[in-house]
Amino acid sequence: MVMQKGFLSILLAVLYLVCIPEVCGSVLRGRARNAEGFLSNYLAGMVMMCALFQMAAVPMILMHRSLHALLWVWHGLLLIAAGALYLLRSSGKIRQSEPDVQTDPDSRITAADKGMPWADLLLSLVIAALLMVQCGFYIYGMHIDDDDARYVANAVEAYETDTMYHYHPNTGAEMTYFMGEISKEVVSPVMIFYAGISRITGIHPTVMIHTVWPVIWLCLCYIVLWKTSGVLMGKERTKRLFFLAVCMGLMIMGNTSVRQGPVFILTRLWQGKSLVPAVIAPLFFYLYLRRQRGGWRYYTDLLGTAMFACLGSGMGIFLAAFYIALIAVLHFFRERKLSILIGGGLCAVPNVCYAVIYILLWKVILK
Amino acid sequence: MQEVIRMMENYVNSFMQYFGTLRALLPLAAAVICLLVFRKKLLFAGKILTLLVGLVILLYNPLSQVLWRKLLEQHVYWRSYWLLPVIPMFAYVFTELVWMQQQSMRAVVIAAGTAAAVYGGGNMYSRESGYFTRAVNVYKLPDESCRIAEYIVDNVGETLALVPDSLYCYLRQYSSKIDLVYGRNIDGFTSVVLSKSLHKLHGLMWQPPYKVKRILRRAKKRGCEIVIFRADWEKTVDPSECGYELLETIGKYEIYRWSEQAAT
Repeated sequence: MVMQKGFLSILLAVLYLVCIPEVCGSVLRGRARNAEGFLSNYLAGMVMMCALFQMAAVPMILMHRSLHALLWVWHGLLLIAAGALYLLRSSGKIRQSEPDVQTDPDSRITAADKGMPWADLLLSLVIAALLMVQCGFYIYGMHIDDDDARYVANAVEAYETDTMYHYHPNTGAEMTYFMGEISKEVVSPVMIFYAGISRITGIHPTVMIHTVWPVIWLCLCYIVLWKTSGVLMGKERTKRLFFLAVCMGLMIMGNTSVRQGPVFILTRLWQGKSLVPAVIAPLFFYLYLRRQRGGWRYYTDLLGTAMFACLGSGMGIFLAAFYIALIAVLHFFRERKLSILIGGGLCAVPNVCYAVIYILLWKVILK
Repeated sequence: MQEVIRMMENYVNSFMQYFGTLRALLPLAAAVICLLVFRKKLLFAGKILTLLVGLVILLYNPLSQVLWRKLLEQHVYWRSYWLLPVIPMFAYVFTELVWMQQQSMRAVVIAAGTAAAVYGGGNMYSRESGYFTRAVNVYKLPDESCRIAEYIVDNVGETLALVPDSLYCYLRQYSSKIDLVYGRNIDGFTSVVLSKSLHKLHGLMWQPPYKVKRILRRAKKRGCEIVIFRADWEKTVDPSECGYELLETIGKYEIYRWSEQAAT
């Protein structure tokens, strides 16, 4: 059955895919004051949800717990994190997050940009059209990928049997250990994340994975690029819209080989590895470009992104650790603060831990 | 010396594996050149170029490639190119170049940039690319496999099935109630199948004509309730003679089910 709970399934899907990320983002960053704020909160909230899921999922998978037990733990972590952030915010210990665009001293407004509403409207229409085309292909089109024989089958198995990597995805045979490539998925259980959301909403995971999740991740991808434009171009909205339109056009024209990032982004974004070129790498690029305003906010963003990368795939674990190290070193050379190296190193600790588990399971135990 | 040559060959191969053609380097090359030429005018040119240098030193060179191939598995090193911020970099440079121009020249720059992107790229959604077809069901699975899975789940329930290669990727995406004797793992994916008899069975199912008695004897031994044959492939005998009666024909597939009655 596609939707086990009927109309309630749709409401729950909206709750978990839109409302809860927005609420999580608002307790993390502060209440949104405008559309930009809503987008930023949504991105932050989604990263927070995924990061906390990753934190809960890996130990519970290794301990062979059930999916519903994991969902309880995940909800508990979400409530604790949201509650703690709310209390800190209420007591004034953390302040409203300053939008990158408005307080960046390098933002420039040119006289030419102050009065170009026609250009903004035209570019907005182009962006909306390009987004509709890209989402339309995901909603109405079908891309068959044989890797889904493992990925999606794992999600369906978890959804139907309330287990996690207990049965072989290709055959359904019971596994006594994490066989073959399953051992890689154990530390990057994005398919279990999908199965969990499907279990809550009652919508079949294959339906959500092939139709809903790619649209969500695609929107997140462009939110990250929009925020990047805010850092690069400041308050100049027309330039930012032009930047985003160019990015979207380049995505569509990115088919020069089947391995190109845009191909993974626009054809199989539900797969964990596709999140690397779509959201994770651009997010790290954005964090690198953004001026470091110091302290905990930069490092929580970095840590959240690192955990999110770990959820996606083994590539996310290794490449995220590498990227964090690289930008920490580059920032250190610019600003000469040892705390940057220490902070960056601490943010990469989860990646190192997951990498060790990954290597143990995949290279040592199986060999 | 041979090691060095092999190292360089691997490096170039992985590079071309990712970019596909030399034309695909055009947006990247154009962006880097513009960042260098206009680095005083572009506020973030220095930061982006520093990042690129860092990436090249630590990741995108033949020496570090050897180390990373060991760490990341040999056949997926090309995925590290996903870290290259080609799209935002080109978009940033292109946008700033357009805005540097007078109004009258902007159209020219936009046309030149668009030409570079189109010449160096390929349309994702063209018919030639073949990435998408129209979805025929909400699961976004091939129609026949979806109908077969639905039929088995509705009429048989939990079962063990022996199916052709053209179906084994899809049935378990519909429901985990359909266990398979082998799936994609028989071709070396997910986990290695060591059983010789399973490979033999796969070999019998792989091409026509179906040696029905041998296939069904092995299937029965493994406890297969359901066996699916391609209807357009010749069979040496009728499966009903071996205890499997025809349940349904869906598209080009025939679904057979073990029956005690048919067996006797």
